[in-house]
Amino acid sequence: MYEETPVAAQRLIVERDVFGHNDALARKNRSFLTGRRIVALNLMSSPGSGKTTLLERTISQLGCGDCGGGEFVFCVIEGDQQTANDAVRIKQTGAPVVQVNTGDGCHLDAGMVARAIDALDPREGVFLMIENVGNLVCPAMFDLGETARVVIISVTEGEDKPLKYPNAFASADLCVITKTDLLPYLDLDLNVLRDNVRTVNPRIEIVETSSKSDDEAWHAWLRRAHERAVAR
Amino acid sequence: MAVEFARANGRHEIVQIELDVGECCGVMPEALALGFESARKGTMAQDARLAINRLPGVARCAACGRERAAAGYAGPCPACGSARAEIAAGREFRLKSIDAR
Repeated sequence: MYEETPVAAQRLIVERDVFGHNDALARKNRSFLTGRRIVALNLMSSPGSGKTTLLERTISQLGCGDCGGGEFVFCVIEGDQQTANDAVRIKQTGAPVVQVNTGDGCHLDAGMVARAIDALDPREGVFLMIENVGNLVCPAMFDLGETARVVIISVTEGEDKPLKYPNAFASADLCVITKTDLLPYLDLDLNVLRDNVRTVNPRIEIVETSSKSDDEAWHAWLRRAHERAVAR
Repeated sequence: MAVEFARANGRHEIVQIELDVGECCGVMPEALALGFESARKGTMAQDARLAINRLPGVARCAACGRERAAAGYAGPCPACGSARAEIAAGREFRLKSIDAR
């Protein structure tokens, strides 16, 4: 008779970064996009801020997708938990679009974007507009490999949202304030909203848009971003 | 990740998983522990203990250089009021070690 002594567990040192996988994919995306001088914009906002509407308007004003008649060419990646509703809307503009459904997921990650980029195969010098899942919390944490981050907030959302959701605003390069045509019906003080955005991110640029007026400041920002990309 | 590593090292049972979770990495330990309960089922880590090392977050003011403790969003610098800060420590989210046989 003998007693079996269980094999003792041994400590194995791993030291591996868990987020490393997303960051490595993001770097690959960034390298690919930079190589093709593509301006990739990660558009973040709450649901209903007007991301898709802004995209539809921008594409019809500045480009016409792949038909070669506009100032710029736009390709789009649409992110939503469910439905292809937004991709259908973008398709009407003529721009090439891929819909990514995250299911239970609350944000796009670099792997999803890598697969979408493969499907789109965007040409040199185009704009790649990545409309993230409507969410002001999680998308801020995931690098997609984008050129710049744009946070979008509408005037109906309240002046204090930048303070409540600082990560989204702190990590963005541009803030687009939408639906300014509704200001006469609201108590919102635009100066307070702008101040709150700048409190969280002093270096961010801010532009305003509405479907009732021109989007000149937004267009000017896009043109500057494009110039920087193709000048590399 | 832990299971892959254990397998690669010829182990078939994980007794403990040790993680470094910084206070500025965006991961909430309670949520992580809850997820772990589900994720470990049916794997070689199904009876493993989860050991989390909470690493302190430090934000360094980009304007005046003063460092301050931070967890998540750092807020303005208490010395000069600047909102520009770099996270000097606390971004870690690392599988540090596994105890396996």
